[in-house]
Amino acid sequence: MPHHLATATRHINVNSTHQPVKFCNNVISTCKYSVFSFLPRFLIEQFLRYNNIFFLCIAALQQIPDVSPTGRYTTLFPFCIILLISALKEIFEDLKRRTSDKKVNNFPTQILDKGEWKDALWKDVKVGEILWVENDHLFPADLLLISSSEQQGMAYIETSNLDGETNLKIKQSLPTTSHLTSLDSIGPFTAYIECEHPNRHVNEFSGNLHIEGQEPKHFGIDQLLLRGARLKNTEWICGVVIYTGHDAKILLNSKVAPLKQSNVDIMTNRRILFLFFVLVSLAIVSAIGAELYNRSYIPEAWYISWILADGAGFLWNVLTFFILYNNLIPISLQVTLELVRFFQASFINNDLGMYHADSDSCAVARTSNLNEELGQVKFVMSDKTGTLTQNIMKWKRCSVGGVSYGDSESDQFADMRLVDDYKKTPDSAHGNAIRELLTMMAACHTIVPEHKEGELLYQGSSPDEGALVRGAAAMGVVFHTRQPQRVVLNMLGKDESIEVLDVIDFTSDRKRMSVVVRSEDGKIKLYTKGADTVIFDRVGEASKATMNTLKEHLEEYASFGYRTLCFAMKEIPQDRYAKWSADFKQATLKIDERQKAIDACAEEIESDLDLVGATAIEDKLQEFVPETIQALMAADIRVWMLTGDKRETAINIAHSCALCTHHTELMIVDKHTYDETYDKLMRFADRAKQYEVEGREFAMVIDGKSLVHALTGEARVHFGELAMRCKSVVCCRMSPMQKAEVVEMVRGLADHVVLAVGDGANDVAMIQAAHVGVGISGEEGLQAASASDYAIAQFHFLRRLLLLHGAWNFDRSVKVILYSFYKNITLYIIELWFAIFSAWSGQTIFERWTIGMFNIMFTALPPIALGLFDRPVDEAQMLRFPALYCSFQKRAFSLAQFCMWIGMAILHSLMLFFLTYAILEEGVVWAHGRDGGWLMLGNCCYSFVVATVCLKALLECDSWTWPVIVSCLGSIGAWLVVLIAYSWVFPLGRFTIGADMAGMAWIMMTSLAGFWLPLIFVPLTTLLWDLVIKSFFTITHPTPREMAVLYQKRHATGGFERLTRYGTIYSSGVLDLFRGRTRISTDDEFPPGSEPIPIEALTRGRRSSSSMQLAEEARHGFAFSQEEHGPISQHDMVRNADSTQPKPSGR
Amino acid sequence: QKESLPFFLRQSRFFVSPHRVVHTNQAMGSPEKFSSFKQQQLPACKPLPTAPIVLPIVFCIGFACIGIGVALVLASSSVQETFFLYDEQCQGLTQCMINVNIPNDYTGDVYFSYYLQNYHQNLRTYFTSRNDQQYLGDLQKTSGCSPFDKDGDQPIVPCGAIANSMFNDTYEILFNGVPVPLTSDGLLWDAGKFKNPPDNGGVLCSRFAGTAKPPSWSKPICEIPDGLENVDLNNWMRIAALPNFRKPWRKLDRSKDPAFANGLPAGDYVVNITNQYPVKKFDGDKGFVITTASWAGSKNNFLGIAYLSVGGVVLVIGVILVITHAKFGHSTAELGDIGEGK
Repeated sequence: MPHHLATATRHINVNSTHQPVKFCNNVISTCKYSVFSFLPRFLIEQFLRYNNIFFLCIAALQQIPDVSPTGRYTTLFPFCIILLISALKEIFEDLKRRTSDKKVNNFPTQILDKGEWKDALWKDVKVGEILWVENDHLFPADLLLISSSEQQGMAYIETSNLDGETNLKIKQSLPTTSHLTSLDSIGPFTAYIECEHPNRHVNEFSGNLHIEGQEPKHFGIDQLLLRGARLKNTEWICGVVIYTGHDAKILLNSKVAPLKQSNVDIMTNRRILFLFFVLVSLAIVSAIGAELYNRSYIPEAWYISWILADGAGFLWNVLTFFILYNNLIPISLQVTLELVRFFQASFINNDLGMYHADSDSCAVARTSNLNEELGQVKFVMSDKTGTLTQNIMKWKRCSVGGVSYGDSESDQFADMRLVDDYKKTPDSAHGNAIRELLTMMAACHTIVPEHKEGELLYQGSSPDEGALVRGAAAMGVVFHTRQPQRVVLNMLGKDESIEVLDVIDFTSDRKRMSVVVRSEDGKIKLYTKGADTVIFDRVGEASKATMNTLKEHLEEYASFGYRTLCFAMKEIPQDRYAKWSADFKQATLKIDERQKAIDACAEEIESDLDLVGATAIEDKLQEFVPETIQALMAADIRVWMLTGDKRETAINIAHSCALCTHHTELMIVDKHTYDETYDKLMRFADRAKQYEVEGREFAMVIDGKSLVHALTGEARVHFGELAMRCKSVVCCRMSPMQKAEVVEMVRGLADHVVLAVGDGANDVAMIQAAHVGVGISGEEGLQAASASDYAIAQFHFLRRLLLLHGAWNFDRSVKVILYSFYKNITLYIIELWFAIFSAWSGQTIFERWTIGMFNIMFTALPPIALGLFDRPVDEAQMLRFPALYCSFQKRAFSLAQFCMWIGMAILHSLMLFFLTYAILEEGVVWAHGRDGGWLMLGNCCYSFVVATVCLKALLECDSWTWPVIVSCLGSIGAWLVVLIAYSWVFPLGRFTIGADMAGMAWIMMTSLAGFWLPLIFVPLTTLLWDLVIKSFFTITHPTPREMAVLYQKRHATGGFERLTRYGTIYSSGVLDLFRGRTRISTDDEFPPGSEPIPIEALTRGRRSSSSMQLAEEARHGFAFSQEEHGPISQHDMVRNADSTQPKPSGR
Repeated sequence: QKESLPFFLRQSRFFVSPHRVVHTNQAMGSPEKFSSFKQQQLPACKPLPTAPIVLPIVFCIGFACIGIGVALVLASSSVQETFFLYDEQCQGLTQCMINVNIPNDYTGDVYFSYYLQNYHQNLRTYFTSRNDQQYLGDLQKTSGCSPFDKDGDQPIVPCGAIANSMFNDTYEILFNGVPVPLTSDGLLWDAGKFKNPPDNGGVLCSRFAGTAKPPSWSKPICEIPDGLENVDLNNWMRIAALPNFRKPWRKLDRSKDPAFANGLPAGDYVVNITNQYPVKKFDGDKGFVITTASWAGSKNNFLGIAYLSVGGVVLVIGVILVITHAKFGHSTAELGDIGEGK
């Protein structure tokens, strides 16, 4: 075999241990650090943050002799502690990533090894090896299909992980290899493959297979099985490994997850920058003060005038004050937030409310720095398949002969009246129609039956047809054999063979599929199934009577969100068939405009049909989807559905998942050119305004093609404007990239937080583009889950994730941030007030180490406790009143809030300093007449600050749990303990640490009037105003949060009246929701564990006739999935399948 | 009936809790998962500052403040104090006599303090110019004392700017021409007291051999009483936080003379000042204080009055809150009453 190294193509020796070059292995790694790269990478990452650079600078500046008023190490030491905590957190998170990689790398598979199938792990898979993949398993690498259990080496694969399309795709091996279906033939098989180097193109692939003694064969994308796809409806396949690990197409397509920063972070950085400028200006102002003293006072003050000789210049003083005030920027904020988020994330991970028993999985917060972003979501962009729906189709209803059978409550169609009615009068028109409907359901399709261990399984690419065939079987019309020319049904106990003469394919344009059959009695019949609009146009006069009742039934089905199909048939006279059949054959053989010819031919025969009936299929939703969407919409979140599916399917699901109701006006944009799209958007934008005035609900439906235009140029503006107005939007026929583009567009429209939720690899781009990406982990979908920021098992957990965790975490994190600013400013701005009395010399009022320890010891816990244990409103209330969610958003991290906190901090620091000043001005606060000195003032003031700041945390906390109380009171206690301990340190060997502090605890604590009474009085006086203002507002203008808490407290005795009456006083828009109130009667209305209201209740109802013209098609509920333009046409499928042939075992 | 519910409750018809389904036998079902801690279900008190909660607190605080305030005001008003500034009067004199009238008896301990005004002991460079190890007897340590660290090769003891500028005015208090007996006992905190070098059997000055005196001092450290353990030195070195400060100087020795056993009797006194310490140039001033002390220390009405006024304000606020509450009528009973349509 030729060996070409470094060529333009990849060369692979099949079934050989020797490869021309070394290919990468199949191990994937998403770890961030290795043992060696940890330190440099971690440090680089840390010092990319402004505040870390800032503190590094401060620490460096402090090393200059005599410039620092607080000694050399008072910043360096706490800073190192903080870095250490961050490092520990990083290590912990990376270890978690390692574990999850390990899980994927250790999935089992089977490899051909020396003529035997050996169990192996994914990570062992090497290029050139032959793998064995069983049904419902994922492909461990990109494989070249060699053979399968199906005819001609066919294999069905599900690619929803990759592109989100729900129908199965058909792949087919090359004819030269498809016979390799037994171990004997595969074992010795060798070949040599030449193909492209790894690239990102998912839809293109080409290569040549060289088998000794044969011509090289070309192969392409139809033979390639991509990693991440799943084998379906096929017992097994054999494949040659082409690309492994990071060379696989799916991995080449996955971008490095972008580092997402929450809005709160961005705001915080801005505030920090603001504080930085405040700091610089304070330093300059203070240095000017120092300059004035240097000029007037110090030259005259003999006891100190010698310092002028040293000539501490202006800039020097600026530096001194810069260091003195540096703590205005909270050194511990970053690490506090990180810790808080880390544990918030673990609350999410441990939440039993988001535990899915079937998959035995909890929610996983993969990034923790977006926790609070979950509380600000304005847009939810959801994928459809696998996210909203389970991708399971169930036949639910049918209408035949003017009678509607079945009900919406049972899991699938089980109305035995259908068969009974037939049996009663088999020969009447009604009986005949039932018979024909069941026959069509059982015979008019592309499904292949399969007998396996006594069970009858149906394989096929269309889930709708599968549902119908299964449904017919349940009714006693069992389709059990398919041969190239005929199908055999068991018709209520009697086998009936139907000869299939012709198959006219289903296409999206035709919206119908027809089969011409010859039944046992020799009659030639045309069976057609398709969209009601299409069928109704083609029925003859005789059926007009039944059409109206059928229409009504269809309408009803559509209102439940079912997918409807109409069935029609006609008998064709022998001679007419012979003529048409010849025409049709010719048309199918045409090379130019073949499709057109076929369509024309089909059109000719598909006319003057007899209407038989219609079926309704439920595309089963995931659990609690409508409830969740309703709750999200009630929380003023716009919900968008982005799907790769067809418009009909999308609208159907939109209805059944309560995204839009029968009252909703649908505005459908489905134009193909830019100008048309633009016009349409303009018109809809006007109409939307009008609807808004009229107070009508409306939603937009747009497809992928129009979207391309809608996102270009000026149309983008109008599209954005329209999109902003719509409560919900449905985007169908979207490619993965378009999904991401839509997300980007909405992000760009305004400062709204966009959340994307999806389950497949096709959602990865969107998940990464959104502010917050949520992956549905469920049973499969590793791709989306591993690209996401949060992975949940079920769509309905989103409600809990947003309304509960999001709202709480947002509230908490904002509190942590504001509180951190507050406490630092309160303490450190006191240095400024003291500077007025210390001749602007930069002397600190507090002992140097107590300054440094403030953030990492005495006030470290209260913000963490606030960030973890504060529950503004109880869980049940949060979930019950989604409107609270948006009221929380309004309590946001606004400039006003920030200013209020800063103002409070300044006020508090003024009060704390000057009250202490007034109390200790004379210096003697003991009966023995001794003098306390500098630290008596400093330490007392410090104690009062610690007490005030810790109590402020309690005051700001909305729910006092023991950790909050312990951490707040404990912090005050910790300071007193440390104070006592620190007073004993000096003299300690050769160190002068704590010389100033020697005995201070004794000095302070023996003064009742100087320390203990003020310790009560000063914090009390300082915080009293907060409390009074707060309670004043609570009494007169309670916030929605407070109302909810009040409501809860009074719930046992009712008391809703007050809650609603507050609403009229409170003018905020949020509380418009409290208008129009009457009292609620009792608890009965909201039993906490009540059963969910059935989906039907949500979507049922008459539609308004005015909306008919808008969404003509949507109302009919037609939807149908079928593989089109695959490697094998539906016609060939039917012609080639033979279920009587045993399948090869491959073993 | 449902239609008439407020919007946000109507939406929540879908309130279901499929959430709290517990599967104990599942892999995830390890017992610690169910802790109320991890499930964020810790029992909590939700302190909503509504009138029924806030009002009792406000009134309690108000009365407590007034009570403490009264006690403090009483304590402060029991303190007798005489204070005068003398720098102006004594300008240019080395010995300066000031007449002081004490109108009524100062009973109990009486303290004599000096007072400095506009004197910045808290200036950073001044403040840090000291070496606490030297003051504990390790005489060679002078780091940080620059420029008052060394005189030639000899370490200055006590080194540093603070020691160098030690206050050196002295006072003699005469009552009817008789000196009032004074003592410096008990005017120092035990903690942080300086220590002379270890006793080597000789006189005090031998322990300080090889050291120099601070430039501004008239005599070396060993010639002042107790050397480094001198009360005035120790008190001076305990830095004052603010630019106007008092420092204790002497205390009435009630054991020596029965006339002073109960304190300082009323009458005319003369304070004889040795005026040496210059403060005029930097707009400073000097003063002298004769005072008794209560449990709350020297005379300071601030804390008492502050307590009283805060107490008063709190009570006023309480009344305002009561009115506000009454006007809006948000009593628990009313909130609990669904009300037959108001």
